[in-house]
Amino acid sequence: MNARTIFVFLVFFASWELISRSLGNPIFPPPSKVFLALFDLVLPRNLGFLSAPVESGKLVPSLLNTLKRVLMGFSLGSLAGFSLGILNFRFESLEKTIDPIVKVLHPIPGVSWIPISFLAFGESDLAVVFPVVIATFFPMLVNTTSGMKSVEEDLILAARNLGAKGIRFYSHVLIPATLPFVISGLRISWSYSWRTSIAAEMVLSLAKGGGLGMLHLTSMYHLDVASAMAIMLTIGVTGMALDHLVLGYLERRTLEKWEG
Amino acid sequence: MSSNKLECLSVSKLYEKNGNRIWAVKNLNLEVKEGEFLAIVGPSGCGKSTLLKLMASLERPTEGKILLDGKELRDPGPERAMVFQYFSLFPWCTVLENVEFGLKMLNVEEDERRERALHYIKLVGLEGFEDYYPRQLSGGMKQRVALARALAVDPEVLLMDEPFGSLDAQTRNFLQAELLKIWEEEKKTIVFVTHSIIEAVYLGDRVVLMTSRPGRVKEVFEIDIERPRDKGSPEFSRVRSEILSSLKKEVLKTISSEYSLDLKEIAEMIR
Repeated sequence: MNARTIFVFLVFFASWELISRSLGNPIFPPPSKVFLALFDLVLPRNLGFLSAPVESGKLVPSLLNTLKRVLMGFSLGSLAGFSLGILNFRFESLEKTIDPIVKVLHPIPGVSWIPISFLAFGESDLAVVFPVVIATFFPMLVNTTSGMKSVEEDLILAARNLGAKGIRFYSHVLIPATLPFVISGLRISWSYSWRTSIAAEMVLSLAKGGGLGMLHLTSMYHLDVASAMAIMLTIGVTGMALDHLVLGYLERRTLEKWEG
Repeated sequence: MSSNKLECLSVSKLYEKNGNRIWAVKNLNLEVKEGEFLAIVGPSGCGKSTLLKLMASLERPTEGKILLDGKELRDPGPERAMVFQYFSLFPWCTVLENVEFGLKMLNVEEDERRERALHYIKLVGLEGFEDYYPRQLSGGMKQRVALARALAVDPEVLLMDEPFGSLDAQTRNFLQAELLKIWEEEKKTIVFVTHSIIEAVYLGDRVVLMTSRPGRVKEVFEIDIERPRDKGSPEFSRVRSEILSSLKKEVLKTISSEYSLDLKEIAEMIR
């Protein structure tokens, strides 16, 4: 984090604090209260700063629950999208056949599948995982497919000329050649799946093992806006961290090699 | 030097795109002798590159067949290693990994693979660059890597598709001389496609001139000038202009077919 970033955040929180205090409206709590609420959400009930909100100590378990679901959906969805992308390359007729369906299903947001998911899976983890799978699957499929198509013809010919065939043609040539596309597909998929999992949890308020989405909704039911905002901050920071630190790192590492 | 290494027997290649039927190569007959350096020139779009891909079995002939040592070819293989105009190196592989690639596909053991790759990296003068990635290299260096990659699989025939076409004149001259040296050392059969007559005359034992599309062999020139050849010598110029005048007629044909103009009309326009 450089000096400018720190400065921007300081200015941001300071103005928020000032505006909030001058308005004095409970709908818009100042960041000082939000951070106290954040501590309360993390610490057990009897150690909290504020008058023990109902969500005390629930933040970390909720975060872990959400992460578990989103990572399940994300890995399933991206693996499926990637695999079908490879099959699309291998069997051109398959791509031509499914392309119109993909084109129609792709723009339907993952959250649209929540009602059906609820009917199908009830109040289980799968009810959240399913829309996440859908949200991840299509961007991954589309990116992999177009990535494989954009591999330079001569590169493929060079590989075949040197005797690459069968599985090894895919593992040693086609997949590495497509990797930059796959990683940008992963990043897009990640941002979709993170949003979808939070939305699904808010809608499905699961009976057991609630996640961040559910915790967020509960705090709103109790008109605890400071906690709600603390949870929103958590959602933002976690989503950013996984995208930027994990996937962004992967991307920088590959692009460094792949491009000039 | 007398037996035929590679033979094209009335080879034709038809491309169909959006209902258009284009014969890239039609009824082409050509023999490449064992150990020979054969250069192929022709007007642009005459199917030179297609012919090379057919020889590598990266394309299948629509009609006719291609023989290697008398046996009909079907599948691509490293015994006919190819060098592409734009290098086509694997960008995620280092120089060493690029050169090792073909050997890996041939399941050559790691120690031997490394040893052979290092030998060819040294041969093309890239010692010390083993761990570089292609993007860190100049065009000339990339083409050396591609050459080393092709040589490493110990091919019987080396197919080169305008390999120096995208390089600057100095690098090109230098690599031409290097290639001849390697050819003399390694005793490979080389088929070298180029659009430069000077390059063809400088390198080739024979120069094949192709007709404009559909590509066929128009004329074959034996180049009897002793090596190393001097591009400025009167002998060199004589051969060069002989091929050039023959090529000019083909170029005019290409232009006339593309713009559907009369040959006479074009000749007048050019004059």
